[in-house]
Amino acid sequence: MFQNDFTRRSALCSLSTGLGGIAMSALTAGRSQAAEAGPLAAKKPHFQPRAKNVIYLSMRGGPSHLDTFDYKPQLTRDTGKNGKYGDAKLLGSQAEFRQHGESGLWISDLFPNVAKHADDLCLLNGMHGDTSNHQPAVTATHTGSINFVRPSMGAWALYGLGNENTNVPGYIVLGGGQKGDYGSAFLPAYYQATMIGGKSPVPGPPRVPNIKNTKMDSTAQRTQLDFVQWLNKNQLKKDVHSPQAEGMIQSAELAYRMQSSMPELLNYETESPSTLEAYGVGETGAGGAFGKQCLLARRMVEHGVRFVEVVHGGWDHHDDIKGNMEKSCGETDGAIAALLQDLKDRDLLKDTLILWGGEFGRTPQSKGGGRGHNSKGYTTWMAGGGVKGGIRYGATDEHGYEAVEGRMHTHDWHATILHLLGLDHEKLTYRYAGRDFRLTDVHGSVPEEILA
Amino acid sequence: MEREIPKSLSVKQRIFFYQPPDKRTERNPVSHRFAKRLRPVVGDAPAILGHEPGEDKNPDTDLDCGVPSGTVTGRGNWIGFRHVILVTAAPPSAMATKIEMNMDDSSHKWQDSSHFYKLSYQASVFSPMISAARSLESVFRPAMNRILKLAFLVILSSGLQAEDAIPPEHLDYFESHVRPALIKYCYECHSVEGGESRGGLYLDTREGMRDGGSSGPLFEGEYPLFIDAITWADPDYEMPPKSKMPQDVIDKLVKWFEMGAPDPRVRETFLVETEIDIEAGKNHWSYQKPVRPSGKTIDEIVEKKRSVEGLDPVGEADALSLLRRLTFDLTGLPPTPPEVKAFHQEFEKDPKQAITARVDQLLGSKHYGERWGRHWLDVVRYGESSGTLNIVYPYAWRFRNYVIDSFNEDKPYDRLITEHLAGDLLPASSDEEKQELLIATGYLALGPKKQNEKNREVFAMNLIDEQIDTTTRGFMGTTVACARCHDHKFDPIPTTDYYAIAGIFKSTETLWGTVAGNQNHRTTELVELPVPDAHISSVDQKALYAEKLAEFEKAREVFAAGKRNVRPKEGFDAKAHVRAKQRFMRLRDELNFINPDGTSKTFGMGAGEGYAENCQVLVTGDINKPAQEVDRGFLQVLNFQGTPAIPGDQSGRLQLAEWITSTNNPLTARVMVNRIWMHLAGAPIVETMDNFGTTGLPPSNQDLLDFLAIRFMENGWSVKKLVREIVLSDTYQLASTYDEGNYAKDPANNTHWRATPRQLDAESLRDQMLLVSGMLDRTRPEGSMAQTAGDSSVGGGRRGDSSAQFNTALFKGRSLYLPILRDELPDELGLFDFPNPQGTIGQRAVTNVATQSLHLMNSELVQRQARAMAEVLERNFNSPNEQVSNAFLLSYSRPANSDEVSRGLQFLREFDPGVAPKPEPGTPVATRGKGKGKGGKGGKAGKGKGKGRGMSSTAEEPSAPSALEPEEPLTKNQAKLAAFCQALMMSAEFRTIH
Repeated sequence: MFQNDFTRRSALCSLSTGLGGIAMSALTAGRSQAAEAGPLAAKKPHFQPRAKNVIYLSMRGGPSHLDTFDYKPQLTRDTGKNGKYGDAKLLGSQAEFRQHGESGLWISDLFPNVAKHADDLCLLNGMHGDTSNHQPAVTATHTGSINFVRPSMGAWALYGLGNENTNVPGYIVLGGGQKGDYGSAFLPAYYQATMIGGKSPVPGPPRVPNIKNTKMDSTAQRTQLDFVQWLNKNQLKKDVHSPQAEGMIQSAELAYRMQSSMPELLNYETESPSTLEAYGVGETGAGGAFGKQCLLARRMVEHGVRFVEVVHGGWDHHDDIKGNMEKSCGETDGAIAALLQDLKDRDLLKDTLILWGGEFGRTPQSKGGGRGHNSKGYTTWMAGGGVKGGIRYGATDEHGYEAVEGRMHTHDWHATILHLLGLDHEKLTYRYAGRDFRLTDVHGSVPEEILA
Repeated sequence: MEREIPKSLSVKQRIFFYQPPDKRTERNPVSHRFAKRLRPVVGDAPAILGHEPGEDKNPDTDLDCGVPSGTVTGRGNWIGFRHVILVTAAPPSAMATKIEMNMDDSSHKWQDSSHFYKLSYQASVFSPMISAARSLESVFRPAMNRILKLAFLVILSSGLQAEDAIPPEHLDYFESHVRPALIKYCYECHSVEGGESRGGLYLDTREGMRDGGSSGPLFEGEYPLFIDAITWADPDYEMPPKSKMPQDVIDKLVKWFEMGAPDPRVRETFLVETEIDIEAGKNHWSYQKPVRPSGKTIDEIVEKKRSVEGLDPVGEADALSLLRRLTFDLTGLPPTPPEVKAFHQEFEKDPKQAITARVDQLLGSKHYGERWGRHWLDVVRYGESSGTLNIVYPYAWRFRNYVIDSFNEDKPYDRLITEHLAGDLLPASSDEEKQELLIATGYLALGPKKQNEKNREVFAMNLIDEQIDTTTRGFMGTTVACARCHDHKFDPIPTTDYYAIAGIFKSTETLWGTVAGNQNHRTTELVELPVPDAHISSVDQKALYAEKLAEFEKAREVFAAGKRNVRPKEGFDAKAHVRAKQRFMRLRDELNFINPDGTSKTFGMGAGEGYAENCQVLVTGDINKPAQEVDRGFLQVLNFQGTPAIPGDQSGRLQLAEWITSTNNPLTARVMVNRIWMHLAGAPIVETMDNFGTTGLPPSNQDLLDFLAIRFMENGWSVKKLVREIVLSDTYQLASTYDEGNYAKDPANNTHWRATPRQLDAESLRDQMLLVSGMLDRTRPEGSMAQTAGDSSVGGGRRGDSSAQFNTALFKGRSLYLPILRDELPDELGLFDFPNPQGTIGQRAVTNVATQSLHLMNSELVQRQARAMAEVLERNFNSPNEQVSNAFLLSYSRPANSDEVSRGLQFLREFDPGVAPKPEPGTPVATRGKGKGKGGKGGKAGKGKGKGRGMSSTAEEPSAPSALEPEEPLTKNQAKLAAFCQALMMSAEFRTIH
């Protein structure tokens, strides 16, 4: 489905006019044009979607589920005993768990602010994956594949749904990481992510390099771009299936529009002081940087960006699990809670699917005061966008080592995300090299229990 | 105190020096400590030893040890003298480690390993010492070439408790008095539980206490460190540091020590065994030798597969497309218009002859090595900073140049690998050759490092891991590093194999330099090179040296004065003291770069032999869980005929190279030809280029892979010959024309029914812009821009990205000479898929995102090139018509067609730059958006000062403030033409190889 017409250019022409002295801001202008054609324009989903946008809070390094969202009293009781999982001794949760909200979800004291939104959270306690090495696991959580170069789920979402705002990228990654995890692989190049703001924390709104032209005005630039696209179209006539040329055409158009939209989109300083404070934007260090990214993520979904990923690193706690978890959770707790609250206040949470999680979890046994990698059982959570709040789905064994019920593999997780976006993971395919490819390969199932 | 040295101690045991009880009254405690300990060994010989920075004289010799006049001071090198050396140690924090001496060297170099100075003395000084040492036969190991490696073993003092029988009353005493005290006062910083092992010291096991940490054992010697530390008798080791333990606790610990330190806390012992069936593992396709296929040429083999799949190739490429393709592929640059014209004429006469001649000309060009050397630099993760703290490697560029030269001279690939791994061990007949071989080992040193790691052993194992990973993936497409913590999950590589290879690198000294401080806990010497840099050797720095020396003396005075005041007293300005220390250290480093006679010293990164020793297997990679020792060796699954044995007294690097480059090794040639093929054909034969294991993908055409591998080895591992053979094949010379039927069957072009169109990589795109704008400087710059940042950290948002920091928009050299700083690549590289060199990169990502388009539209770099190109056109051609046609010829290496010319002319008529503000004359327009672009300069003027000197004038130019180069405002016509040129640079054809 969704066969793209590679040679269609109508979008270019229609977009090439009217952006000069417009009254509407470039950001909002993009919204109204989304109805127009073009491979990035909004498309109809397979069925009624429960969420329109996704914010993926990607916690890199493998956050411990045992000290946060997977309550394991038996593990605490068995602290110091030999585990059945190797030679190291079991280590109980390093934080107190309490019940929160009307739902009474168990959440540890490491996330006191997120816990206030317990009734919005859908804890997925039965997550599991295929590898407990960081990079392949990160790749798998993004693309569904460990070894092969496959499109990232953001690229699939964009391919399936297009973007609601043609003036901004539809798939944005805030923070660093490896490009391959955000790539489009065999999907057309314009579905890949735009990465904004590397890992270096810079004060103020992030900078998109070269966002301003100092040599010509936007009309002149349009004239220039029309000439470039004329050349490119000639090129495409020679080489009909050239994803590169096609990608260059689309990315040049998007770049042109981004010049006016992005500074506005990224300028969070127009937000109210109370909002800035809630997200902790002014704080120094990793906490402030993450708060800023969460706030930007909200601004992005508000302006129709389909898929936003916020990357927060440093969760690979092989030593001092307690101290390190306090640090990592402390850096993120306030901003995540603020994001949930802010989306609720703006009535955006119902349309926005929030995903929180790492590439895997950690082991119940401890060595060197920390915990090892564990892909056999871990926790992620979802909130908003059509998932049931205040529930936990799935469970690990008594020590939190292995998922034993409501098991949710990365493929199932992907299928669920697509489902919430109104896409059938078995129908969202792309034909390449004689085969129909899917995000979920030949796997994936959607647990009805968690759908609101 | 002395007693017989137990046989079980190995040569890696250390030498220790302890302070006399009255040390507080000594003027020079450290060297005194040194001397005391040495005396029993050397008799009455003067002990000339390194000592603490800031101390004036060695009391035993009355020699000035800081910067002895007339002797060499240096941030030295033990590599150049690998058979010599060396001592050790030091300042309070580090004890002597090992001593080796070379009897045939006329001078002996004492070298302080943790601070950068060394002293040279005549051999005679040492002779009594040597003869004394000779009497301790068991500590001598005669080695090759009259080299003596001495290891002075000392002397276990107060009898340690025999391991097994602890009398119950001792056990009781330990449990009731000692264990609680250790837990309360020590574990926080020195235990697995506490999560720290400061000074590499663990106090939570008997072995940990016995072995001690980086300052040596705790219980040995006349004045055991343990007692000194807990009684606060030694100002350098006061433990716990914040406040002394109560006296009764101290008394109990002392009493325990006197009991012989009975300790039941035995460290668990492990034995790691494997369940992998190595023999079965050998069946995997890539572990079997390549088989010669029936086809005799590339074309035959390709055609066989293609016809089986039922595909017909498109025709051959036209002359000019082929020329453009060849020129980019072999040199990374497009052909110039004269080259286009000449080739066109020759091609008309005799196509085959024209192509062959052109190919040979391109292979002989110096740009060939730049192109193919850069490909190789991806594999060996070349970078000019360390990542994490991101401290600059100011000498990494030597390795870059070495690689370029090696490809240009077509150094056989097996030799190249051998030099990378063990150049320092190869014979050299001249200083120049020695220099080259030393620089080659920079391969081992220039990887990414987490230098904020406090634990020496953890760091060492991580470094080894990085070396193993790059070596095995890069050269052999094998993911050995997966077996660090457990047996490889998929390939037949037991974890013991990992540690067999780890032993090789553990026996190697890797020398990456960098300066201590600012969280950098992991520094080394550099390699001192025999040949001075041409561009600085001529400068007489005698005056500079004298000036620096005077400054240094002053700084040392201030620092030493502060140091005598170590106990914080009132009026002690700690910050000022730290400043004084930094100044002292900086000046010392700077002095280390100049010889007293005013000539410069030359340094590089590299490696040398360390102590040859096996590595213990670490359970789950945990340094606290050592299991059995495994002999140094290679992968069992590749134990083919001719696998060399590693002599006990060598690291095994030479043998590792021999094993990797053996023609019986089924992987090495295949992995390299796959890389070469990918660069020329657009896609590799084995898609998982750095993983030929069971989780990798099988080759799309194994006959082709094996044919190329066999040809490669038969031709003496000549990369040039293989490249030549490929580009002269019909397969390579196919057109890139689209064909609907073929595309439907084989969109990825695995069967080579056409030439795969390829997007230009970052370097070629930028180089092409500079070439068409007439700005390209084809000469190789001296050094690297990265040097201008000195020894400081780069990036982290502190000074903006590196494009701004180094003002790279003004750099005119080829792109591979841009600063390659980890995590801080210049935009013109980083935005265009240049990989962050964290590890071996087989194939770069090819992306096409809006941020690239923004760069092409708005960046200083591209706008400058557009403007320069417009000036070239305006200067050389009068009519717009000619200007337009020639712009196409320059940009696309082909004449424009009439449509293109008329559309171009239409653009020139229509385009109006509009309201963009015209700059006032003299305004530094060029710096717009680059306000912080003086970072490079700032770095030079700042802490990195001394190191920037190696930088050349060429490299300096770009970091000059761009205000020096204000742009003249353009006329309307010039602006039109510039916009036109920029449009060509933005276009798809400009960015594609067809």
